[in-house]
Amino acid sequence: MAYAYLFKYIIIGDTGVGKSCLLLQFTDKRFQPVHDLTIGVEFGARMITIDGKQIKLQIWDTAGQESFRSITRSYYRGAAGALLVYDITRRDTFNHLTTWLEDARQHSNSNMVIMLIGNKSDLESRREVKKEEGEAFAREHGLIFMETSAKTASNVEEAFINTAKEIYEKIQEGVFDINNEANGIKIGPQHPTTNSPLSTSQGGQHAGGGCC
Amino acid sequence: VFQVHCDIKWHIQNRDSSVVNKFQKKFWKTKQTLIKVTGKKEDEHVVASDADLDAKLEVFHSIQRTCMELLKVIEQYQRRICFLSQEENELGRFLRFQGSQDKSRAGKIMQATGKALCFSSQQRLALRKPLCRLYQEIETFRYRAISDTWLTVNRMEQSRTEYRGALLWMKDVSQELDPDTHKQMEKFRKVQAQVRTTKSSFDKLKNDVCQKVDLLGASRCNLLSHILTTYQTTLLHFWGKTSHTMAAIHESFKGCQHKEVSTVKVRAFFHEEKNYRQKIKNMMIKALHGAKGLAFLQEQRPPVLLNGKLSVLYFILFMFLFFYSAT
Ligand SMILES: Nc1nc2c(ncn2[C@@H]2O[C@H](COP(=O)(O)OP(=O)(O)OP(=O)(O)O)[C@@H](O)[C@H]2O)c(=O)[nH]1
Ligand SMILES: [Mg+2]
Repeated sequence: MAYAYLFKYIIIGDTGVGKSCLLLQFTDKRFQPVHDLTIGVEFGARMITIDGKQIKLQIWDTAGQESFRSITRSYYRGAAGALLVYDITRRDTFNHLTTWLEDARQHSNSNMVIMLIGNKSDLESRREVKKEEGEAFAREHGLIFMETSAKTASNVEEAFINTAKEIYEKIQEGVFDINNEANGIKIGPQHPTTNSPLSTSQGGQHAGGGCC
Repeated sequence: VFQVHCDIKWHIQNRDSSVVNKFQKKFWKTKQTLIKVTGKKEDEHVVASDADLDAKLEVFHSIQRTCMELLKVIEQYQRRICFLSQEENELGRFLRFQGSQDKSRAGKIMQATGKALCFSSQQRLALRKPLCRLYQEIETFRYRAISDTWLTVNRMEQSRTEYRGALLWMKDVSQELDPDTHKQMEKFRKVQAQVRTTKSSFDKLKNDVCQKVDLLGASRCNLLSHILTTYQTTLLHFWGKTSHTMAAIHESFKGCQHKEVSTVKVRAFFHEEKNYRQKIKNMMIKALHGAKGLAFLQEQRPPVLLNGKLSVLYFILFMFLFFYSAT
């Protein structure tokens, strides 16, 4: 399908926080109650519209288990947005955020938009991390913050779309160099405004794309 | 004809790719084996995620090692009990003989002491039975339980190498991954399948190892506490009996001429024995608490036995003094 832009997203966070479920809810509007451990990485894609433009989100759902850490580091490269997820019912997943953030900052480009997500907001009775704590952490590190539930779909759309909006704004402001693929943004095949030779060759590669 | 040609081509390609696949699996496994053998630094996160398993393996090796040590210690201990008993017996017979030559009161005492020593030397041998039993049980434990766990550990290590090899492979194909490129994704899926299967077999064996080691530790504790209880009872029984006879002799010393010398020496002797007894008791308690205590047993045994020997020497010296001062 034709798109104006393609944004590469990466979802990171401890194992079991609900990264794959968030993706599944966003792409298929389904919920998977059984924990199906991600091996390395899985992919998802969806079209969204911002400012009248079609944007393809190419989402990399990484494995949270520690043994995959070195592998998943190579997936950060060229991501425009990251969803950093913790589980509001497990304090340790919140405590590990600093490590995740360090990893993300170290292995991605500095303009990458990071959205902090406190997932499983439907499990209010088992909550271990207060919403204010998440907000404070996000403020301190300059992240956007949201609590979501992959189960009830609450805020899931918003989390993905708000991140895209933030990236889009950065493009408008000229912060992202859209012709540099390392920024995680590709220009679609029929993009009207650009006429650089680079974008045409990319366009050729992605004609009829959206395979995943 | 075209269809057949295509089929054959497809078939060959497929077979080729499976051969290549097999070769690559081997390649990454070998690479991991090399890393392990040459002691090159492994991926810290992969190592860290096996921390619980490695801690369990540490316990396993300690059980293995301390069982070996314990066997050696029991053997030496048993041999020394025999020596000690022999020496004790000879001293007893010597005293009895000398005592029978001496018609004075001292002679009577010497005879009584000699008799007590002979008795003690016989009783001491009773300790060998529970020790023998302990030796046999540990030997069986080693042959059955430890070697069974060892087999599982080996299988686990094999599977760990395969899993880590697959992770290396995955890391390699992850360097240039593009989900929109069909060819790369096909390759990635293959590697992912390999990681998944090796991981599930490794996770299973990892679990098996952890459970077996826990069981091994618990059953050894059980075994030790069971058999050492018999040992302890025998030991206390032995000391009870011998100290009773010794005390009786001490009683009969009371009216003796060289009271000062004798009482002091006898007291010193009993003091030694008491210490010895206390030490053995302490050791027993520690031994019951597992491997650490057992290491302690080995450390402490020579001085304790020396102590036992010392008390015999003490006795000889004392009897000579007594003998000379009496004549
Ligand atoms: N109640 C509730 N459960 C959730 C939610 N999100 C995920 N879960 C459950 O949490 C478990 C883990 O979810 P996954 O999405 O597989 O976890 P993950 O973060 O992808 O884990 P890894 O792939 O190992 O990194 C599953 O059993 C889900 O059903 C949520 O919003 N609410
Ligand atoms: Mg997952």
